[in-house]
Amino acid sequence: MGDISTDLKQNEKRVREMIEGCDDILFRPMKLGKNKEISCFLIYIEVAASNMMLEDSVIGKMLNHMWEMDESGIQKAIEENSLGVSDTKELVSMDEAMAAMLAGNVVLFVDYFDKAIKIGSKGYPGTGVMKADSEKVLRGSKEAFSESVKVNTALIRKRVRDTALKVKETPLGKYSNTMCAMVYVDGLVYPPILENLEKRLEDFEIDGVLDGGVIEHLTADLKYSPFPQYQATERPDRAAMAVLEGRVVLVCDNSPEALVLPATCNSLFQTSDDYYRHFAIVSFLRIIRYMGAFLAVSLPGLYLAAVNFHTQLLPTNLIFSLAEAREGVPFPALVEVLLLELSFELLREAGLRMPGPIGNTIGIVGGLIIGQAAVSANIVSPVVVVVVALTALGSFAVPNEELSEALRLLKYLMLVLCAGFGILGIMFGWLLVLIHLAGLKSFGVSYLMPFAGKDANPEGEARDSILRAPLSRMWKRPLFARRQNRRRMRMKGE
Amino acid sequence: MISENQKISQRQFGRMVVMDWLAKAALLLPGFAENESGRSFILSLIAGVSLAVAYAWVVGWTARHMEQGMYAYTAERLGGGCAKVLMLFYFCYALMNSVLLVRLFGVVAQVFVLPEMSQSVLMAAVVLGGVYIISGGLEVRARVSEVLFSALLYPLLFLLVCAAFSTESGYLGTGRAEFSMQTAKHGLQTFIAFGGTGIFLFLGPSLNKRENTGRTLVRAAIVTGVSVLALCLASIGSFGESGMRALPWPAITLMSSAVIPGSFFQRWDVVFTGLMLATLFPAVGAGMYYLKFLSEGLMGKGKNRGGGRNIGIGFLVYLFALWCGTYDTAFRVFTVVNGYVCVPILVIFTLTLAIVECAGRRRG
Repeated sequence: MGDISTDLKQNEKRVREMIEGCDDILFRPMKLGKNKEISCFLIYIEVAASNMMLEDSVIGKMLNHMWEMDESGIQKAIEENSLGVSDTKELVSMDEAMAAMLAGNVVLFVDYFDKAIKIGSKGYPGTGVMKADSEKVLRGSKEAFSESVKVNTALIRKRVRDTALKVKETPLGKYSNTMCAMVYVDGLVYPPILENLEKRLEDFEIDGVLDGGVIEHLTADLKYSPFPQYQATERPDRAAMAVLEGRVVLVCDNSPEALVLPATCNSLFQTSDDYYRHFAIVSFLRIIRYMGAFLAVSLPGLYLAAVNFHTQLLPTNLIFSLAEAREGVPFPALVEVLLLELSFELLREAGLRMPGPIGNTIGIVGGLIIGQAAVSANIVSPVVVVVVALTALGSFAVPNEELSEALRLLKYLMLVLCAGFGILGIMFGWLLVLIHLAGLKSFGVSYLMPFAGKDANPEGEARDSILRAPLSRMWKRPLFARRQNRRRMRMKGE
Repeated sequence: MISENQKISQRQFGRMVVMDWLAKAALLLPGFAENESGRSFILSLIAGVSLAVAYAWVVGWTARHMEQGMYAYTAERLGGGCAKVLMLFYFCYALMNSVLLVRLFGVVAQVFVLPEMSQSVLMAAVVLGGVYIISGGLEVRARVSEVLFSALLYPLLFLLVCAAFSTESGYLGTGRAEFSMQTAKHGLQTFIAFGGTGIFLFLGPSLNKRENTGRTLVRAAIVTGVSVLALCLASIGSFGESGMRALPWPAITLMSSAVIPGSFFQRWDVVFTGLMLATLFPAVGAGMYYLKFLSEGLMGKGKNRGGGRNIGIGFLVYLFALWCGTYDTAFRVFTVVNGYVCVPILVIFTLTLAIVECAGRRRG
């Protein structure tokens, strides 16, 4: 689009052409100086700029000063930024000027001046910093990411106050021009991972990136895998921990979640307060989470296998009570389990899409009343209600929502396999999942680290897997941190 | 990148070897106890395992000195034709091994877990699993074995310990330990179960810290040997010599009889068989992996990404397994082809290679 001209009329003509039909973008001509002899104009998005007449806004303060200055001093004041406005930047091309305006800034064009001035203003409306909603913790910060990339990177920097923390911004999306930022600690990050990410971000062109999820799915290693290959987090402290481990955090405008990479299966079972609490209780809770994951996938299948194929496994009185409970139920066990599982999925989906309080009510009504009614009507047996409820609890115990969703899908595969092969179905199913996970990588890092490849870095992530070592023993960073800089802690005297 | 170096660690290699051997050895070896006293049988097992350990050391020593792949190495030392023949024998060995394992899976799964299911379906399922595992390559196989090792072998060990409580010391004390021709024969049969050790030479260039290969193989042979010995001792102690001879799969019967105080399940045969079959699964995958690897060596890699070849290998194994008709036939074919032909030839080949290498080193 070319450079900015010294002739304001020409600049005005070009700007007006570009913003034609954009009623939300305001064009405001004005005169500066005591005698109002210097022409200028401002362009900005209506709701993104502060009130210019107010003394407490940056842009208002600046203009107020310029209206009181001599004409001769204005250009000098702009060039030298002698008004001391903190967030200003000179823009040399019309492209830059438009990009700055679309990013929510005010752009000032002044006659006889061949640059435009970007003046930071309040920016687009956003949600601001809120409380973490989906990653709740007992101890630790309650802050969550907002929907602004600037706020999010600031929240990370608030926790890692070192210039080694680098923030590399890049706009993505042909039309959306969504600002995304790669956040990492220079010296800790393994450079090929960073290069790989940069390359992957360049590898696609898309109309719009409306959420980090779009990037996640466009740059994943194995696109058909249901398992998350990035770790999404809404917690700035989790993101800060990740960069200190040598990982890269990708934050994206309009997305209240950051993407952490590389992700491993192990990291998806960890929560941020795992590191604020006693290692014994954390280890115990992690065992519970893994058991929860196992139940979430296998319990309905195991029930089917036990009832349909291997009744000899169970104690006699249990077999009798199972048979008694199923008496009068017209469906085979598979249909019965599927029916209740799908009803539960329906309830979950309905509860999620309904407004807050109604959603909760739907859950209670569905879970208690419909379940009870289904049992009374002999549609399902009470044991199946217990099985489905335990399965759901198991999936809720998994801290990562994406992983929990993948496990929910696998549950149906397991059900089908168990309906055909009994307990061998569970074996087949888990072996297939294991083979799949063994082949899965996140930015070149095996998804099964440290369960596979434990000897590559025995003092590193192996001490932070199902069991967590005391913090003083977790002195080494994970394998994907830069090799020369893997020590993260030293006790006095070591 | 970090996990993309096409290499596996010695830990992974060791666990992979144990997973390849253990289920097969645990299910096959007790069957050799016929017409022998329990003590002689144990003696034959010790002899066979000792031979296997010694052979594993030789293989490891040779692998340590292999700078290039097995084919190039053999061709350089014994000539191109010899290398091709060697690969053909290995192919034959791996095929029969896979067929036996697939048949074993089918029969054990049918007898102990799903009596109403056809063996053909069970075999098809395990072959499909094998195709999936080989499509991931060596690294995937190594990771799967590493994870399964802990997930399966520790529970199996626990069950073995629980089952061992039912042993009668009186059963162990009968008969005399004599090293007869029968014992020697059974010792050799035991060795045959480990006889394909030389196939690990093909993995040489893919191993990290190759100098430790011998140690890893020896350890793996000892772990497998000791586990099988413990299993056989516990079986003899539980069922007596005659019981051992009468039972088709003493290991499974033994584990099924394990009493775990306070446990929920009444019978463990299904659970144990499930675990045992899960260990057979990577072993089938291993056999099929070598078939793929050797077919690439014999026929070239081809233009496609190996998908067609993987399916072809699966078909080959499945068709052979069907052709055998029953497990007993498959076992007899395995004994003749591998026991009397392939294993002796491959052992001689490997020893020759080791001698040539050793002589070359002495000459400097």
